Amino acid sequence: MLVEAIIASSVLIMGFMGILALLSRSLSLNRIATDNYRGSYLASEGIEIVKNMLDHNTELNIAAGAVGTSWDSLQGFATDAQTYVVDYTSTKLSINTGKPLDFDPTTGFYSYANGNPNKQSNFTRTIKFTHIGSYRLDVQSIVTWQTGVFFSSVEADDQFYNWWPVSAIIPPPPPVPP
Amino acid sequence: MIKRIIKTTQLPVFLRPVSRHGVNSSGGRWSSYDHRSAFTLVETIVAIGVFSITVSIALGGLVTALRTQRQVAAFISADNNVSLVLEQIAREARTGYDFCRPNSCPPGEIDFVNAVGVPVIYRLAGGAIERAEENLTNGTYTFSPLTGINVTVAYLNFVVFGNQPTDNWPPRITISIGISANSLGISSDVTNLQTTVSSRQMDALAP
Repeated sequence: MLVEAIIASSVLIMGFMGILALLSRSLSLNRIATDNYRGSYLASEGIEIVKNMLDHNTELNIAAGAVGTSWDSLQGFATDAQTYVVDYTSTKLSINTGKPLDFDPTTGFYSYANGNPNKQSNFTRTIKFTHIGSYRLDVQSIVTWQTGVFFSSVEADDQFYNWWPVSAIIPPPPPVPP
Repeated sequence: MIKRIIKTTQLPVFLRPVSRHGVNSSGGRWSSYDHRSAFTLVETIVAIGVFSITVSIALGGLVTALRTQRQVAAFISADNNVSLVLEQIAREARTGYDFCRPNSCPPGEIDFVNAVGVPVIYRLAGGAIERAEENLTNGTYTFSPLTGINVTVAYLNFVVFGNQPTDNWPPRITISIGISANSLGISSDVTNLQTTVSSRQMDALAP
């Protein structure tokens, strides 16, 4: 009789433990979904910042009236073999050291600013480049993070072109009067 | 037939058939258990107690599961709502110019001129993101909320870089937003989202 009761209780307890495990799993899935949203936006941000830097080259050339800066120079860095990092304050690329983004809880901004009040987030963003010919640049923005014991990543990929050759918009200088 | 197949000695004591002739079905002598014809009061109370505890735990789990399901649905709905608004801001800003010019933008607000030449303002007011276009006849703005009542926007910050006409940088707008779903139990959980938009308007080519 006692053995039967113990076995029956054990079966019940195991069943309820399974239900509770499922519940905790659903709660963690909620966090995973939240982090997926964050990661996706941070990945697309990396692409937009690189696009901003590329357009800066075009603006420099427009202002100078000549191609003084290569459209894909990215402020000195343009190698395909290296990986880089950028944040919303960047005016140039930085070599990737694997450092995660910091989060400022007072403003809600993710950046690489160190020190109080910034806290290290669990998001790491990496920028990669692949040159395709001389007029096309493939940019990858990869964000990785960890939620509990789960590792996740999202990758945004875009291709940018030398879309506005300076010679097309800068008229030749007027002839010098004799 | 069934009696022949199932050995009655393998059944729990209280399920074994009882002989009327003083010998139990397994052929042995009467045991103390064999004398009873029903459960004792203690057994009944214990059984009811175990059943009550089990049902209580099951109901608690069920209630928690339902609440979690509601919270997840509320969160997904809120996030979709804000994603749509962020997409609208990003699309309009990507083709806009004159960001926070000539005057700088107040906190939680951004103003610029959109692709069709109409000044627009996005701002945070009352926990919602609002948008307004300038009435070109009288210069007034009428704000309309973009986020739904199922979302509370805890904060909305804009950082504008490269918005000066001679800095040779396309305007770069970074948006930081904290949202929470208006659902019981998770209204204090703030999700921090951040994205950046680079305007396609060149300084030298902007209207």
